[in-house]
Amino acid sequence: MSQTDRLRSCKAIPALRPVAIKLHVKCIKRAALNLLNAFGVPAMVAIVCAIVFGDDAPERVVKLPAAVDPAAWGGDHVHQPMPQFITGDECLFCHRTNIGTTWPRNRHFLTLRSADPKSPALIALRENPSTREFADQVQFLLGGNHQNRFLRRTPDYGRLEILSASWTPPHGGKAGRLARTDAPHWDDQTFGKSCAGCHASGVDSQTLAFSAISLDCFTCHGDVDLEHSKDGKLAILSPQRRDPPRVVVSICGQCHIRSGTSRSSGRAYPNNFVAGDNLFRDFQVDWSDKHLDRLEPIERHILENVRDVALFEKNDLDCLSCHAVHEQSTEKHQQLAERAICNNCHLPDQPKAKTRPLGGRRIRLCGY
Amino acid sequence: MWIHKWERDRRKGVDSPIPTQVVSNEEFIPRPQTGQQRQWERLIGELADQKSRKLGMSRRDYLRSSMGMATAFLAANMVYGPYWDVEAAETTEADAAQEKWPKGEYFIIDVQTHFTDGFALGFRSADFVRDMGFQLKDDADAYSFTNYVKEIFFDSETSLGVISGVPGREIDKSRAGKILEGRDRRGGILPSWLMSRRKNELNALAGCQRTLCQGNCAPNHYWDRTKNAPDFPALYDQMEREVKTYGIDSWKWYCHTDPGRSGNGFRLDDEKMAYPFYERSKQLGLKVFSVHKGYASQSRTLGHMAHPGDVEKAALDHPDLTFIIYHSAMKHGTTEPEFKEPGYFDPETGDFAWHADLMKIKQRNPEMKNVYCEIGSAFGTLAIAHPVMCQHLIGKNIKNYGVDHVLWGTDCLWWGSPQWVIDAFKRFQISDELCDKFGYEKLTQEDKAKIFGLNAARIYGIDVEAERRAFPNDALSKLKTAYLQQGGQRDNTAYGWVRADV
Repeated sequence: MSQTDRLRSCKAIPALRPVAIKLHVKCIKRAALNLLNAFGVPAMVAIVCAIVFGDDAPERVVKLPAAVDPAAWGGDHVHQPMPQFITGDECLFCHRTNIGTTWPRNRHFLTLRSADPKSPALIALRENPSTREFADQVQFLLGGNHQNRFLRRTPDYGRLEILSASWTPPHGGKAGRLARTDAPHWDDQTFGKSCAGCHASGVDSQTLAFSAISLDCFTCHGDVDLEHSKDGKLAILSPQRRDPPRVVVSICGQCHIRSGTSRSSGRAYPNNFVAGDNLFRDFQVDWSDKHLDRLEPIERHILENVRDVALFEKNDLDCLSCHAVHEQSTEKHQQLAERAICNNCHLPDQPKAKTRPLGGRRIRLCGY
Repeated sequence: MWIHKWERDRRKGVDSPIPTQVVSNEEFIPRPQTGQQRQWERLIGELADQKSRKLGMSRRDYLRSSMGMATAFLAANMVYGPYWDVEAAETTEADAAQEKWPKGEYFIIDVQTHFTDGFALGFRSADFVRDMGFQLKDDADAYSFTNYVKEIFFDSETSLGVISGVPGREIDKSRAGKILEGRDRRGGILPSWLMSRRKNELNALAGCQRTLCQGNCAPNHYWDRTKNAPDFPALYDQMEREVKTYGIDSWKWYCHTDPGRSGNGFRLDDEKMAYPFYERSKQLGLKVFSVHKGYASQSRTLGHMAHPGDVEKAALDHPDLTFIIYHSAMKHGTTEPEFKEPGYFDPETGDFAWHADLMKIKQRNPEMKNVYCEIGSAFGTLAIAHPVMCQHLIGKNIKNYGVDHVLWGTDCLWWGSPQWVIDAFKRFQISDELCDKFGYEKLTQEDKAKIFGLNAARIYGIDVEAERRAFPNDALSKLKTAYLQQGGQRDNTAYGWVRADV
């Protein structure tokens, strides 16, 4: 293994990067001097970038085309009334077999779901003396593998209250546990202000009221025309229609970019985004390398791909190239030819099952 | 490897008029034939060989005849038990089937028929339809009212069809406040205004009552977000429009849908939402409530509200109203994965999910007389996919609710012309074994006549004798005669894909 390979393999694990640099400082110095003598300043800059940014940093720095204005195309629904969209239950009257039977197990559905009294989270809440009285009031659970929150309806339209206590499911051999159980109380503000945009549908940014629990078909397919039954191309993201990558990343990005802010509402979720809109006309995102490099791999993976499409018009890859949303299948993912963005999560020249450990800065907006 | 069913049949020398194995539409992996299916298929071939030889016919021609159809039912009885009423004579005498099952024997009211406002839904090429070997057109025209008339009235023996609603609500006013009419009111794939319009057109054409229609309006369709409660003024306006202007004959409710974006479904026994609707409906003179129950996968988050648990209190509190429980509350259809999950059907008790809960309601309240079990998309699918469950469905419905409280429905034209379901029910019977074990009664011709139409006629106030007298001379009958004379036929033709290795 060459010094460079050794350096790369060590650098590939962010947590070990400082150690790698320390151990190989002499090699780096020697290599830098040799490069400086042989090729001058550009090569020196390249190796410094490699140390600082990791494996694919040189590609990003050197090869990306010029950025375009991500807000330059399309429209938005900011300050417009919420469309009278067809609700998911109407959709499932027809799509009962191909979607209806699998949707209850889909993560996009489960992001906010009716609370099962027999779930470990509810049992723990019931068994804890300080939270016991709240257990029977819980109507919904929010969240997945990292953190669950407890919610209930309020008397008001489209509002939920969130319990201050939370549940961390069992993970990696650690038992599940309740957190923030001191002085538990219902909070009627947080869900609307922070969570509703991605855990409910049809959210009015003015009133913070939503019109449907969890993600309705509207979230990704927009205000679908019934005529789509005759012409599938009329429904956004339908198999018969090849939506441009910039449309796709806008749709997925409305929730999966968790570090943006609506310019018009100031909230962490988009203001009245309707699938087909250009998310970035109103949703502000820090696209800088500096920001990306601070993110943990999954967050970086999302934002980097979105940036490639939205800023650099790299249209060969969007979210749907790898992710089959309804099927929750990894088949497309596995079939895809290897490319640089894979290295957000996978280790180059390593078995695909081996992925980078979580690291970097987590976005504290919510617990996923 | 997959091959066409006809190719496999040709290789194996099989030519069955009834699919004897699940046939795929290329979108799912065909399930291998079960041992019983193999036995059934082999028997059909053997019997057809013997009988066609005796009659001097080719086996293919024989199996395309009514005798071939009878042979398939006979073979099924030999494998699954005697749940099809078929006699040996029908397999060798062409006139025997016609004599035994004459067309027009029953007055058939199908309380669950549909078409769409020009939208193709994909149902007619659904796995279950293809599993039966039907090759149905599935474009927008196939769901049109024109095709509805053909398939319901020309291709089947249906006497009177109730145009049944689907989830959707009408928009009453434009943003400028103008009252909307007709298509401008939208209302989904089969809006109330359209059901009414087509009913009136067809009855006018026929010159007598051939159709009834339902209205889609429901308690959560118009929502006051400020009060977070039904917008009763808007709701009552729409109710009045549907009853007085449209002339609907029943409401059609889907408690597990939310076209008004109220944020929730509703329960039949909700005193703040449903009960005011009941009272207003009584004032308007409409007392029939047809309610979808079961088939819970049709809702994104509200499938639990398709459970029949809310029927009991609503029905007891409103004995002057009639509640028709569609699909007999069968929770999952035969093609849904949950249908095959352990525990969905208990062969020891004959119970299956949610239907059993509907039965218990009546067991707890024997005095309750205003709840009816409708069997659309329950009887037909189970008859093909699970004959034993099918016998329990009918057996329990009759045992608990009484033969006067079971209603005929098919959900067609979603599944093509309903004639195949009609043929199946004419021949359907509950086995001696199940009658003995579970206390079911054998179905008589009188029972079938009630289920086929007499019960619904009572609910909807149809004078059956008057209708019977009018039908032969009405325009629809004349058109049907002309259609048949010109060779009009159903397009229920078996095709599809099966495994090559079976």
